[in-house]
Amino acid sequence: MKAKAKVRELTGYLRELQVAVGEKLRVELPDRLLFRYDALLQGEVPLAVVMAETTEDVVRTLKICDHHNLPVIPRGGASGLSGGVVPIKPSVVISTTRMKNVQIDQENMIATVQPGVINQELQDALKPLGLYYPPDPQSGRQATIGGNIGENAGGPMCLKKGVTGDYVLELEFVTMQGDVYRMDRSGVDLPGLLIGSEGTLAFVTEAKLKLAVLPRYTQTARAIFNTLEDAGKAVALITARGLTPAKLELMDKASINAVEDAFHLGLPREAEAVLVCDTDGNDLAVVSAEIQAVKQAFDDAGATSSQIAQNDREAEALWKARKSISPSLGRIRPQRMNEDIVVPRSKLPVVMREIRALGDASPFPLAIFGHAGDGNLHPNILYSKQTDSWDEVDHLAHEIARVAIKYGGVLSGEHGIGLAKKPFMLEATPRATLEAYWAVKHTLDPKNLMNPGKVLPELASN
Amino acid sequence: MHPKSINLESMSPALIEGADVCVQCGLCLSVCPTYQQTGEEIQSPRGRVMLYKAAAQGLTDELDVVLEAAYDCLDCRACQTICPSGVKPGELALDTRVALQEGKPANLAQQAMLEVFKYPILFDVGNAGVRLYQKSGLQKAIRGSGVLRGMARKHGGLWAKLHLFEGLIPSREVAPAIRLRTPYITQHQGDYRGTVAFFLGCVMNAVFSEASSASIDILARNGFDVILLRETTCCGAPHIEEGDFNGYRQVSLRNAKLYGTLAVDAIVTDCAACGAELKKMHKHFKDDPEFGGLTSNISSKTQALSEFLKKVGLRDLPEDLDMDRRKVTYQDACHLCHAQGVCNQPRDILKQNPILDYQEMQNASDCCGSAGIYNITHTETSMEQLDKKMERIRATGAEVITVENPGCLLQLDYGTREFEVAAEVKHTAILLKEAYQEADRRKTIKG
Repeated sequence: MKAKAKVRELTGYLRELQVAVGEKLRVELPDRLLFRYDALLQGEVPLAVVMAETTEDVVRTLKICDHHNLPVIPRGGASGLSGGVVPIKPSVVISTTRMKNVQIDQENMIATVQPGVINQELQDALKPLGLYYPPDPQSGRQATIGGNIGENAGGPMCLKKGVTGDYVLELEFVTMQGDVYRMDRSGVDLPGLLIGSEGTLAFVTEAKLKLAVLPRYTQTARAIFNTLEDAGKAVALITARGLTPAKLELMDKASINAVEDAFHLGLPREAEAVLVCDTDGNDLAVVSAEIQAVKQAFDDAGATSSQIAQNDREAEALWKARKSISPSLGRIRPQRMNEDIVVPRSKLPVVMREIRALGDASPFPLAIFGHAGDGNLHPNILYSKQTDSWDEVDHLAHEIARVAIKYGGVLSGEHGIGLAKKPFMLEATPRATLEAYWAVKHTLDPKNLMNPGKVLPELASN
Repeated sequence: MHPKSINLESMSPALIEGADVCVQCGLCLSVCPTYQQTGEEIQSPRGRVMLYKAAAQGLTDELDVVLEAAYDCLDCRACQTICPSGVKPGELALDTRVALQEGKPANLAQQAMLEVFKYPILFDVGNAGVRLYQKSGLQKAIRGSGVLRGMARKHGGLWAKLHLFEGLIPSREVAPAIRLRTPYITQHQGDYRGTVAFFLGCVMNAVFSEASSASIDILARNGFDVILLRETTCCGAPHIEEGDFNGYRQVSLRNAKLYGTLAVDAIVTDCAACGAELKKMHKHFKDDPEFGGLTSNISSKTQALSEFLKKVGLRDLPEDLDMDRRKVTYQDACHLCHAQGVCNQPRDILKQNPILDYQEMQNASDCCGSAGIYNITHTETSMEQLDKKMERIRATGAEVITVENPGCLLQLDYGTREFEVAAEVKHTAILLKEAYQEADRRKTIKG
């Protein structure tokens, strides 16, 4: 499968890289062209790509890049939605897709993984043992654990189970200078600082992850609401009554209609919102009581209809609508900008109304759905690369982010800041905080070579 | 494989448009056999599509690398099944091959091979050759001596290919080709339900003629008059898969004239590749004033055997024969499941089959590595796929593996011998015919 047409005589840093990593180096243009994008943006063609397999490969590459002042981009499955692995200047990409070792310590419920392991692959390895790794990003079939750590990824299950950071016990990472560290979370929590830093501080080469026992029972309920307020009220009631669903997902009218157009599932088109909820656990009586209580909360909040699935098949049917959103949106417009704001749960209705108004005033179809339990919303701006202007899309995305900030929310729940939201950090984050971030960045990466241009906006003093 | 005087112009808009639908989400990476094996973006559907686009936009002039990427794709189309945006990386790979080779086969050996497909009689002769090879004892002698295996291990290269090529010939005695011994019309049995044309595939006719005979029998038994056109040529799949659009056009138009005006209810085929190709035929000729209508008829009438049987409903098949059922597992042929979307129907029919105990295999819709001639051109990758597949078949404990495509049948048959899996490989039609025969036998005994 390997017969590259041209064999280039390499010189300078490329020669050094070749000596360091051998055939794991990619320098030909057709290869390099494919390392300039993630699932949102496209940037500069990198100078070279290293298909790392070991920590040593990463160490050698970083040392050479540091010596030659070459920026480095860590890259996993490149399924990110914020431009986090998109090079903005000539850089060397280190791909982790071949770093796939998994070791499972079943007794202590710990998995030790290299960063290129795909989330789903880890789940597949754990399932026969009755275990699972709770962080479940929707991109779990293609996203790597390294990327999950970089973005502190969550998913529908994070309401009850938390996000990636809650499951990282220990990290091995390499600084830009090529120094390898292995640290747990005790004392000064340096791994905690790396989680969610989007690869801007150091390169994670191994992680020890905490596992959980697969819950024996899951029950599902769904409710339909005539107003967003009622749906918001239901979410607030559920949490106020001390219930902790495994998942609590919301879709708005635009999402409902998109799904109906594509799949004809029989959802009421006039409804303003649908909530789908799972409860889980090992005691069937508790799980059933909890789903009944969730249904009661739906009804008390004014649901026009609500139901509990009587078996797995019915549960699957209730989830089908939520899971069909992504494919159905693709039929409306090929591209979508997936916003990722988080707002206080009590503000969900007003935030959704304001975002809806922004969407209606824009030239783009806008669908809103998300992990209501956490107040994490994904307003999706639907557009076409051919006919629409990216600037207008970007503008609307920023307007949406402003609504989140106005109501005490944050810019990203799980997709990261990356390139897409970096300009917004200036508005959303106090200057002193940004300076503190920069101070950390300068300490670990003094030359600003580790995934430069992401997350942290340039400050006048820098 | 050295493209000369490349002119991408005519194909560029289609390639760019096809790739522009991609949102680069990477979901396709999770089902792509070559990406799974290598972790290389250039070996993934997303990467390939981005590369075709880059080439069409003139961002790279290393077109031989682009062409190689298009050929590294198995064209299994698992990515097309999973893509939420409707990108078709498998079809784009074929478009790219055609564009970069300007519709001509890449080299003389391929040209010669593709030429063979244009003359059905050569398949009958080939079939006779295979029968002679088996009957003379030569096959037994060669396999028994292990000479090819030994040379393949020692020298690799061409010997390895020869070993594989020889290994693909089944051990069971191949039946005579059916093209010349099947009547124009096989009469229906019982109440008449309609008339269908049976599209005779090349390899099916030669190596699996007993399966095609069984298909015709089952159709007749279910009340259909079955028309078999002896003049049928290859469906063109081998040509278009090798970027030979000219050859594809030649055989397609011959078939268009034969089938385009035929007054039948359906065109049924027991070859997944033929089914996929005929269903897509119209796409290539829709603007052609002469052939547009004819190919439209063919594309809309074509149905896979199990698709057709499921739709019309099987007749006279007892629910239970009160016997030990044979454990069977099903392999999705990529061109049936991913290219035609026919996934449940074969399973339903197998579950309905009273002599079988159906066992689902893990990842049954992953490619077995046959993929046209991919097993010969990319032997190493293909064998890794096959190894994985055999492991999963072994895990089901199945005594029989079934699939509705000749390439897969050959590959799986080879796999059972090479990886020592104790299972028979049979086309779904054979298993159905065996069930009918068993039912008949019992009726006779009782009667």
